[in-house]
Amino acid sequence: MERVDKIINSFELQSTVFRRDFTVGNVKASMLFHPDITDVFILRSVLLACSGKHKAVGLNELLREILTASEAEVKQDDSSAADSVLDGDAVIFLDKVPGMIVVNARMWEKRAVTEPPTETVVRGPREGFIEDFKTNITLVEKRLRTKSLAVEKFKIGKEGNTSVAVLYLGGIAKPELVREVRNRIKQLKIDAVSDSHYLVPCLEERPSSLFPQVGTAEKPDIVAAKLLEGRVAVIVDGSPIALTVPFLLIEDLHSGEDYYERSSFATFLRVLRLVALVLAAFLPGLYVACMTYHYEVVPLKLLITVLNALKGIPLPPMWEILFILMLFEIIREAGIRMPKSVGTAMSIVGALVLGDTAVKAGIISSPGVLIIALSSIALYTVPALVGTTGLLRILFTIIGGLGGLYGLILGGAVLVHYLSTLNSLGAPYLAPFAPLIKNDLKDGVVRAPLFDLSTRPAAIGSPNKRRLQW
Amino acid sequence: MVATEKRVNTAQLFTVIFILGMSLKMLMLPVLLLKTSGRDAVLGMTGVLISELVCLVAMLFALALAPEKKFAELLEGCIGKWATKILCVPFALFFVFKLLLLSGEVRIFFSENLFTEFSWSFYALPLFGLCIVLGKGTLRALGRTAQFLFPFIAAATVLMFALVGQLDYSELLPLGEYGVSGLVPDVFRHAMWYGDYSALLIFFGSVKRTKATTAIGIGSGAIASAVVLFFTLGLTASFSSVADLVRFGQNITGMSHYALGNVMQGRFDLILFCVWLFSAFVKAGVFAYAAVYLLRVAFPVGKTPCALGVGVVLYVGTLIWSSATAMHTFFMAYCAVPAFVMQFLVPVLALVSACMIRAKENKKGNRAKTAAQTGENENAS
Repeated sequence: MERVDKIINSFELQSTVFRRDFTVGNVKASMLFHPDITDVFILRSVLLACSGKHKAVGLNELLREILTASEAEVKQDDSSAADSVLDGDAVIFLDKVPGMIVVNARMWEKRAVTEPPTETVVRGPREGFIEDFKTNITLVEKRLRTKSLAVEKFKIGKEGNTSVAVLYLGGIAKPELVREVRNRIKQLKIDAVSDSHYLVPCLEERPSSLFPQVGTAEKPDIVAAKLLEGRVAVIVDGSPIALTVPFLLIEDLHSGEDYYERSSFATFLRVLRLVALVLAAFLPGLYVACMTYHYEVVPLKLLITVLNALKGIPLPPMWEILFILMLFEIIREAGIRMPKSVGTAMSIVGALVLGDTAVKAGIISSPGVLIIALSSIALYTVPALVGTTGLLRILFTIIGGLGGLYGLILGGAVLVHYLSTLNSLGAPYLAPFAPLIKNDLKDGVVRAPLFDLSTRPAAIGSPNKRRLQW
Repeated sequence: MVATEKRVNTAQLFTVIFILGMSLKMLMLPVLLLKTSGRDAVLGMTGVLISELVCLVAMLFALALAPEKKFAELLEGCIGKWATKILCVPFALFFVFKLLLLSGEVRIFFSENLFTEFSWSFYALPLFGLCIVLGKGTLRALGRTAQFLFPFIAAATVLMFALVGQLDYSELLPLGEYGVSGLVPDVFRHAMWYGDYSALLIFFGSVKRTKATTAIGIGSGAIASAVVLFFTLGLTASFSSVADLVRFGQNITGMSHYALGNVMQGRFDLILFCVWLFSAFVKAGVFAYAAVYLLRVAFPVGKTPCALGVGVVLYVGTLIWSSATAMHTFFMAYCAVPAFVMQFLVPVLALVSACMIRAKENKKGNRAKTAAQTGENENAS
């Protein structure tokens, strides 16, 4: 068959794709497949079924009468045959019959569905996304068994041909939002999409911003909840992280577990995260400002203790804190990259030898170490903002060192104004505080009892406002 | 693109009015009035606040009468295009000078309370940078910034008042001992400190109105005035004796009453005042936006060059008046008359223009109605 040869020849290396010729009744047939990513048992069963004694003469008859047990479909246009083969499908051609049958024979290695490391919970579902596209979509579909759930699939990447799915609930998600997400992703001309984060810049209104304007989720229950709020999710093949839009700053303070806890405790946890976030970003800067310019702000006894500890330290407060911050960032980065076998030893070297020795040697002070330690621990209470807050605290340390409280307040005003200018696909980034949306405050820093959250967040602008009646 | 709301809502307008009404007046004005008028400063401040509220009411009514019209469109409808362009230049200058005054007050606050050495030619740069950014930004962002910072400003204000030490209000008496003849010129000299509500002109045609917008706006102004008045009362009760004032310096935080902590506990009041100063920065943003807007009406230039121009003028002004006291003296000696005219001219012009436009629209509507009725009658006959 000439068209089969043509498909094989279109590959850089013809041996990439395998061809098996056989007969179906009296008709010559060919099957193309990629041996590395197809299931040999499925191929064998398909071949056995086809080569039996029967009189099928067309693709539809073959599918209807012989390949009944297989997940297969007839495609009249065989231009996508090569893509199907690369997806792990087996493609069957009948001689002198236009079109093809695509049999799902994919066999890709995938890991088990486990709890994601960044979103662990004490209470609540523990299933997390994995790298398998179909599994991830199934995990969401399992939670939202409704006809309204739309899963639009398309391929992105000239070379990677990666499957991307846009998920939303019809009637709940704003149609213009869905359209915008779809268009933005389709407009992307890229070689390959290795991870969902490749799509983040095209979904953000300010890709160069320090603040993320696209949410990420590693658990299907979180994605399902976001879809129910009127958001749109994007799942990318090969990535265990789903993207959700629109995304608001306040969502960084939320955890999936908040909705499985008592509302009072969930609120307490959110306030705690907010305090921790502020400490992480501003504490080093405030310490530097006070120790450089504003001694009078610090209570006298505390000031005496701190000044005693600072005695003999050669660096001014700003440089000292910046030095400790750099030390911490280096240890953190090395801790992530280094092999686990040497990780423990290096942690001891980092924490004890570098930290303790540096304090004893009088290069850095113990209050400085304490401030950075507190700030660094606080940093991880809001994992989604670790990078952003990490950079902000360096920035505010410098500002505090140069401008004291004046600089910090001015910097704070600039930061708030900058955040005020951000939008995430039409939703104001600072909602529900600016603009103030009273209804959404019930699920802002405070988490009202679940039955009080009867309407979807107004900031998202869902056309279907009510989600609960009690 | 997904559509987003570009207008400012009533809640945001409330916060902006509150900040405009309170911020600049609480920094230095009560002290300056106290120095010139003694305990009668309270009366002077009351008069100022009443006139400010009248201006606010005029601005809000103008906003209500022609909600879809920008300030420039209103003026063009009333005095013509070229007169509008010409008039916008002094209006813009008024806001640039007010910005300069505000920056001077911020400078005094920090140099007298928090820094032993405060080189303003260096430290002014970030503040003017903020003015440039806010001036060339969007009104929506400005509204959101004010709204987000409002709880911090309000909390700082409430704490300042709640934690203030014992005040002997009998020190306020006798009031009006020397009559009003001396007070009026004193108040008049400080005209640059008033007329803050004129900056509301930037919100014309950009407010998502509700039925309660005007009432809420007036309420916000009234609250701001009450805060300023209460602050002035406290200050005057503390320093009705000018000798004390000289001893403690001229800045508000020199008042021992506001030293909520003492040396043992740390000066928590300074932190509170710093947080409160968010209001000064927001106000600076509103003035910068107003100046840029008016300059763009007068000259066909983009937002960025206008904002940069304002920034440069501010910096040059800072270099010229290296001493804040010299700046105060200049404003009192040379700017009182124009500032006094401006603060009333803007609301009056806005209100008159809005009334005229409303009347024209009503006329048009009546004509259309009459024409329709005539048509109907003719058809019927």
